[in-house]
Amino acid sequence: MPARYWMALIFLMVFTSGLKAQLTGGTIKGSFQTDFQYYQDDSILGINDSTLQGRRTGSNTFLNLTYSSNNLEAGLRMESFLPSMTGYDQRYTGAGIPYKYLRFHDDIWDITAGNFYEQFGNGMVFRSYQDWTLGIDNSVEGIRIKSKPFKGVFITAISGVQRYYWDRWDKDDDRGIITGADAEVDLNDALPFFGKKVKVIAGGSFITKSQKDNHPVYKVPKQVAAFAGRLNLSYGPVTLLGEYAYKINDPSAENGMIYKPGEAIFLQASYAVKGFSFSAGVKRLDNMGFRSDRNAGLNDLTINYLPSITKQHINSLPAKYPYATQVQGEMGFSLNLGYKIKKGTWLGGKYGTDLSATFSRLTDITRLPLDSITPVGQAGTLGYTTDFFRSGEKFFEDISLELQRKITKDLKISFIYAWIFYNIGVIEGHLGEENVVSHNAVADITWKVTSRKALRFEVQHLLTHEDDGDWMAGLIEFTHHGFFASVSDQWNYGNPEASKQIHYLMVACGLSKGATRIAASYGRQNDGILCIGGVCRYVPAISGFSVTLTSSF
Amino acid sequence: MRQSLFMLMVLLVWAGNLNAQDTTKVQTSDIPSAEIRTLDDKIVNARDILNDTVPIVVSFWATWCKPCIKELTAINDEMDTWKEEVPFRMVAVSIDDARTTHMVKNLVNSKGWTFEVYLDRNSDLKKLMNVAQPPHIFIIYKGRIVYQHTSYAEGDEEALFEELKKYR
Repeated sequence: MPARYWMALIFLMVFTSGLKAQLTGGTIKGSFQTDFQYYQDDSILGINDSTLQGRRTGSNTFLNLTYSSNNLEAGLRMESFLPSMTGYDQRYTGAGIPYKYLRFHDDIWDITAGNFYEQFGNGMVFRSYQDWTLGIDNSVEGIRIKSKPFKGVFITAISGVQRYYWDRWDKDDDRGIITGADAEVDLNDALPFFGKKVKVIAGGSFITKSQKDNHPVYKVPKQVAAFAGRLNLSYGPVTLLGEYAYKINDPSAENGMIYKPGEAIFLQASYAVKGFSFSAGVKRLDNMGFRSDRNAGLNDLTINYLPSITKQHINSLPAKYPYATQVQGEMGFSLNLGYKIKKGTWLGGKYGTDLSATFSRLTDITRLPLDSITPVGQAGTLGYTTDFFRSGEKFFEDISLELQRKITKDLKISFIYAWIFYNIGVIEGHLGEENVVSHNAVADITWKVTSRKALRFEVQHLLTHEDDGDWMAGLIEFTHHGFFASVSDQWNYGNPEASKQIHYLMVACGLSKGATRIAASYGRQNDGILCIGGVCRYVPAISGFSVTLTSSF
Repeated sequence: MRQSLFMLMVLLVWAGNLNAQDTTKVQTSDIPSAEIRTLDDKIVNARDILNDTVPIVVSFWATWCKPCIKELTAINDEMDTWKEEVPFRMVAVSIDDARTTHMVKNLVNSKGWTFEVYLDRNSDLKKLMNVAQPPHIFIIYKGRIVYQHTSYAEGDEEALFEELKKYR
């Protein structure tokens, strides 16, 4: 029989058993994602062949495969960026398998060799993660050992080098090696006499970066260590948590080569019962940028993760001015309130009404000169001193109110109002530009026409006297079983320059069936800052056609 | 001869596969070993949590994902009625990271959700379950993924219930 026949037979058998190959007790699973974009000229947006540098298309593709049996697991991710889509770092252009690992695990041990992602505590000293929306992958290549030696005790140790686009690491590399360990103790489990009433979890982390001294001017530390300690207490509806992190002196391009140690603190208290929740959080960061290469910039080679505590707006206009964590120094707080008005009451209506309110405010820390002759931030010195409790220039403030209500069985509405203060000079580095103060309103109505057919309308408005002025946005979306189609527009009608009062019209449709989804869109996409978790990426304006396909098997 | 042996092997793999899907006491399962956390920050293994004799609906969601919240609210509204017909467990796995992990417990309470919620704060389980984007929902029955669906549109929960009825 010809080989082709055998291939077809095997394929058919694997396919009939649900795209799953089960080889002597193991399972292979995977997922596939591809995004493709075609860029066209747009004289209004100023896009032409020379701004596109002749690149008319971009595509980002990922294929993940995992083999697992009882105690063994192996995985890989194949990536191709041919070339990488506009807005992603062009250093990703290429193809290969940058993520592969072998893992053994049983009740006590969990050992991974190869690439891995890991987070210690809240990530203040170490978090390796992947977020393709942001174009971030700082996976560590090396070894990770996790152990549960006693009940309630969890220990993790790691060592390796971080991914830097497609560069293979060698011993003369500018990337340092990171090594660290974390211990977490669940006191209720570890110490039987502790009881169960108050739940206490304590943890501590240590991480060190060893990088050669390659600086032409300054003598810099070859080892930079960071420590963190955390505690999580919960008693019924009350939760208190906190983490403190400290990093020894680490002169870097990011901090202007100062020798000041870094520190960070995060505290949160919350109270939550069914139908009501309240939380208050405070945070202070001082010189906490930490990368495996002291010369790195952008989102490259970050060792730690310092998320912002502001509300993450989902709708495009309130998300137009998002806060990005200022790792060199910020302090602030946030308050969050959630309340469900009971169903069957006059205010709550037949199905109840959800209300939420958030307030957050972030400012700079104070930086005082070291002495009468050294300017603040002078390279090669300790940089500055600071007053722990005194705040500096305001960076960001957000007051948001949200209401969600199901009016009838088939009609749902939601309203959002947000007042946002945005220090564009600091956050986007546009020094001298006026702070942006905006009023944002969003209304969203979903009407379930039949059991599987629905229409959704969304209207957004942003009012501001600064930056690009006022915006309006609208969307109509139709869904039926797994199909969707939508038309949306964003209109910068209040732009002070008449030629920039542009419509960003977009049509989209898609289909999802099981774990596969395909979507296509055509139109203009506004430029802006896309932020997730306080980490941001600039997305340029584009005009053209996009297709996305995702599938899991 | 060689061809026949190969064919036999292929058939065995195939039969073993069918058999594995039908056997209740399977050696391996579709549930990966991954650390997730309870809302009180206690570490548990997904393999222990997602192992049951009744079907388990597992939803990957996040506090910043609007369709996820719509889906979970719709399921929460119907859950008790469904359970009268099909006993099942509802588990929601939040993929919120350090920025919003602490907000999950608050949101769950203020929405009045009554199902189990876990935290997958660095997306370890999400990756091993091959979830590309939330919302992504699974039905796990006796250690096997028997249904999965990505994205949410109004009324999708009814399709989920139809699937669940197959496992009563």
